Order: sequence, then C-alpha cells, then structure tokens
Amino acid sequence: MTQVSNTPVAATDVSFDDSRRLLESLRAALNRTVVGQDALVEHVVTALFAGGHVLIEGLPGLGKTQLAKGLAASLGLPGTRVQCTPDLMPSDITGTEVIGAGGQFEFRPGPVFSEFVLVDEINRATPRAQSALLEAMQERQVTHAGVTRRLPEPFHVLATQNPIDLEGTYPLPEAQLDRFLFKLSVPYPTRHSLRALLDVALDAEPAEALKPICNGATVLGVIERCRSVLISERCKSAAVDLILATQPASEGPARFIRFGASPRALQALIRAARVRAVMAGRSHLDVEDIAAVALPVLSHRVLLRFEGELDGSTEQSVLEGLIQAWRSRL
Amino acid sequence: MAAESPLHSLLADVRAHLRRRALERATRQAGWAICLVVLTVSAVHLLFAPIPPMIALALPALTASLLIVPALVRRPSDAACALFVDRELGGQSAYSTLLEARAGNRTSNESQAHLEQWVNSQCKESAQRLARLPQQPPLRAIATAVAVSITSLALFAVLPPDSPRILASTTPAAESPSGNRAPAPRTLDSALDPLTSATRSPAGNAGQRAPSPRTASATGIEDKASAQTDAAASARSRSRPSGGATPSSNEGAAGNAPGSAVDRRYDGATMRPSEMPVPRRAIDARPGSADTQSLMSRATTYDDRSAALAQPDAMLKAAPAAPPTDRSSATLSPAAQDYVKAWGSVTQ
Repeated sequence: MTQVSNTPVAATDVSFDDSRRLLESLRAALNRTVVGQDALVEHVVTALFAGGHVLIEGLPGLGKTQLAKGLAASLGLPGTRVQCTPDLMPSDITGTEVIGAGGQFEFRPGPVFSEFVLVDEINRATPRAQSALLEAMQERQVTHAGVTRRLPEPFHVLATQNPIDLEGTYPLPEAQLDRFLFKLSVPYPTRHSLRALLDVALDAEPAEALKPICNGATVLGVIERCRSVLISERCKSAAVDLILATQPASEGPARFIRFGASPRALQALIRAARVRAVMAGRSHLDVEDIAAVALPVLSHRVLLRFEGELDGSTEQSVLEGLIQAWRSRL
Repeated sequence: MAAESPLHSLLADVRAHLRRRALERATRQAGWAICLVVLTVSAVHLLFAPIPPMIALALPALTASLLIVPALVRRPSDAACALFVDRELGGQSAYSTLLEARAGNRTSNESQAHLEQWVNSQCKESAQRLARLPQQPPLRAIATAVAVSITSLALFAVLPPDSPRILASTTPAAESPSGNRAPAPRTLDSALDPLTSATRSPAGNAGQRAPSPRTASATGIEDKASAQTDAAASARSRSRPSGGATPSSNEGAAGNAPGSAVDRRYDGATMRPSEMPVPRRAIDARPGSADTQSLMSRATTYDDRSAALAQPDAMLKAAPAAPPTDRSSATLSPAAQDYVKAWGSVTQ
C-alpha cells in the first residue's frame, strides 16, 4: 500500500499563558458571533484543541452552521463543507480519480482533505457515505484505490444533525458516534440573547466579518501545550472511577444503562479536561476539569435499557445522577 | 529552597491541623469506647463472673491508649497534607500533582515550572483558607464523651465487688435430689435488686435512698445477703408513696380515693413505679345494682360515680378486700395514717 503524506505543519511553541490568552480570545470572538451560546462555544473550543471532533445536534436556525463558519474563520484554517444528502457517495467525501491532462488517472482530493470540515446534516447521508468518514476521523488518513493518504494537520470535523425531520435519515451507528469527542446540544437562546442577536446579526452574517486570530501552526502549538498538562494520580483515579460508574449496575442510576462508556471515552475525558485546565491558566489537571467535560463526552457513549426509557430517563439525566454521585465520593 | 518555603510552611501548618483533628477525633472515640467497655465489663460482672477492679480499670485504659496513642504518634505524610489542601483549601489538585511531579521527575520542565509558580502564588490564599477553618476543638463533643466515660466508670465503682455470689445467695437454695444444696435459681427481681438500688441512689431520692451495697459489704455484712435484700426491699417500699398495697395486692380494693389513685401495678424487677395519676373509678366499692336502684329514687339524674363518692360508708362496706395492716415499722404520711385509722374504725 502506497503512503502519501502531506508536508506537516510545524507547531509553534506556545506557552501556557499564551495558550490561555488564545483560547480566551477565540471564545470571545465566537461568543460575539453566536449570541447566547457561551457553553456551546466553550465546549466546541475545548473539543477542537483536544484534537477531537464534534457532533452538534439542534433545531434548524439555532446557529450551528454559523458557529462552524466562525470557528474556521477565527482559527484561520481552510475549511470545507459537505452537505449530506441520501445520494451522497463516499467518493464525494474522500475524493476520486479523474483523468488528468496527461491522460493519466490522478487523485482529486475530496473535501475531507482540509483542516476544518463541516459536515452538515450528517444523518441524511447513507451509512456508506458516513462510513467514509470513519477512517478519516479516527486514523486521519484516507485510503483510495490502495493508496493511503494522510490528512492535513490539524484536522477537525464538525458535524451537525437535526433531531427532527427524521424521515429519510440514517441515524449514526454507535461506532461512528464514539469517534466524536463531544456530542453537544444547542439549547434555545434566552430572551436576552434573542434581543442581542438583533444588534449583532440582522442583515449580515457576523462570521464572515471575523478575522483570523491564529493559524494552523499556532493551533498545533496549543494542542501540544495542552498535551503537556500534568495529571495527578488523584485525577487519573477519578477519571477511571467515572468511566466505571457508567457501567451497567443492578442499582442506582446505572441500573438503566445497557452499555457503558468505552476506554476511548476515558481517553477523551482526559484529553478534553486538559484543555479546560489550560483555559483556566493551569498546567495541571483538576477533578473539576473532568467533571466539566464529563457530560458532553459521555452522553453519546452510553446506551440506556428499555426500562430506563420507560421510566422517562434520558442519557443526560442518568449521567447527571452518576456524575453527582461520583463528585460526592471525590 | 526559597521558592519551596511557602509550600513547605503551608504543608507544615496543614500537618499540624490534621494532627490536631486526629487527636480530637481519637479523644472523642476513646470516650465513647471507654463507656462501651465499662458497660460490657459491668454486664459481665453482674451476670457472669466478678471482674477484679484492676482488670476493670485496665481495659478502658488500654482502649483509650489504642485510640489516642496512634493519633499522637502518627505524622501525616506530605501527600496527605497536599491532598487536604487540594480538597479543602482550593488547591485544585495542584499540590498533589506537584509532589508527584517532583517524585517522578519525568515531566516537562516547563509544565512543572508553571505549576511551581502557580502553587507558590496560591499558597497564601490556601493558608488564609486554612486559618479560616474552625481552629477551636469541638469541646462540647469531647467533654460529652469524657463525661460519659467518667460517669460509666463511676457507676461501675458503686457496683458490688462480688455481685454474682450475692445474687446467688439472695434466693433460698433448692435441695437437690442428692442431698447437696444446688445453687438457687435467680429470679430477675432478686437479681436486679442491688443494681436497682445502686442505680437509683444517684438519681436524686436523697431522702429515701437505700443503703449502698458497697458500703454494706465494706462493713462485713455481705454474707447476710438475705438481710441485705430485705433492707433493699424495705427501702424500696419506703420509697413508694403510702398506700399500703404491695404490687400484687388489689389497689382498688385497698380503697384509694377514686380519681386520685396512683397506679402502682408494676413489675418491681423491670419497671419503676409510675408517678402519673390515673383516674380510676372505684368499681369494687360502688353500690350494687339494688343500691343503685334505691338511690335512683332520690334524684332524677343519677351519676353512679358521684353517688358512690357521696356515700363513702357504702363504698367501704362493699370493699371485699381486707384492710391494710398497720405496719408500725413503716413510715406513713399523715394522710396515709388517717386512711389506715379510717379503715380500722370501719372494720371494727
């Protein structure tokens, strides 16, 4: 199998303080773009600098695409967009071979060969097209016609889906859901946010006016800096305890869980918590950082039993009970 | 070294705080443990076998030593102190992380340097939080535990030194088929008589206190156990309000005034006499149906209770029980003496 690699971008050396300032600036810029979604913005920034992908679920018109555009513009990353439809083919995502000028087949990269990929309404794509994203998201490479090509660094996928209009949709399989670091829900904005929206974006999209505040090298530098966060034994044990608490049990909130969080969830938990620590200006992890990212990391990684659904429980409510009990044991 | 000074001084303060808290906790636990041990020893002493005073004192002392000495000797480790700062003083896991990073020495220098800087900047705030923690020991809880333990020790001190033998000899021994005198079966009443006397003594019945069994044994009369039991029984009977009735007698027949009778029906072995006045009708003393019918002609409305009260002679004549004996040895109140005299005049 042939390996084709892109020229890697050298990461800029960024200190902890510079990383914290950059993350603060990015959050402030996005909060000006998407009004009233501070928690959502914070989680998206956390996931991206943890090197993960984000699945955003929300009703139409709540600013999901606007957030993705603003993020790409602020990060200074070249972004692409895939609008998923039932007739979307895998080659439409990964790329295809075309006959070039010399009469030879040459590979034309698809939209996945980009630092920032917005996959809109991902649940409208067929499972075949969705699976084309699997290797790209996890391995950060694309194999086409026996040739494996590395994706650029950094590489982030931000996918959206609507919880309504489920006719003709293909719900994401669990294996693909597990590849998203966070699954976020977009709440409906408050009255105050709606009022402020009229002042920010009425005739123009604020995301188009955003200026880049960093570039790919800086993003890689911040990601590297987040990886150097110190983790104490207490925090490691706490994270393991939390993952184990999501496993099915005979009593407590976990009695409604059919499948618990995977070891990949444990890795995601720590990676995301490290970014929260840098956001707080620390070079060490705290258990509160883990607690802050526990819900978006775990909410799509547990499956409820039928009894839980009958009881009216949701993944979020069950996990909230588990996290509360876990925090009381710290 | 100068950079470590704030951290080390904070950890030293936290260590002192943890040791103080451990000592307070151990003292409290020791107080309650002594109480438990003394109660157990007392129960064994009373029910099974006499326990020498030295052993009875050594057991609580040993218990207290086992609890307090480790708290005095044990020195909280740096990791424990750091964990306390992280949990209670807003350390945000920095202190334990720093100690682990120093011990492991396998992390990036920049992260550790940043952490050291962060910790040094937070030491002052953590020290202020430590100073805001309640420094005064929980004196009330400690004093309660100590008082309970001392009280239990004092109660044990007033117990008869060889109570199982005394208890065994308070009841007449049964003759065994072989001719030997088998140990008499102990009744609960007789078994608990010294105990109830001892426990009632500090209760406040100063004027009616039974003689202390320990005092009696000290004067050499412990072999006359039956006499001692009689003394205790007489003291108990003196402690009751006059009414003359024994627990097995029929108080209603004894003629207490209706409505003012005191319920004396109690099990002397397990219950203390109730002081709650119980309204009671003189069922046995009221006139019979023939008398009631004759009395009904005197009034349009008839209350058998008020009618019975209005005719004490009829009530007394109807009383089937024998009048109480005039026990010259017993000390009766003036009202009781009048009552006994009235019984005498009626029956004569």
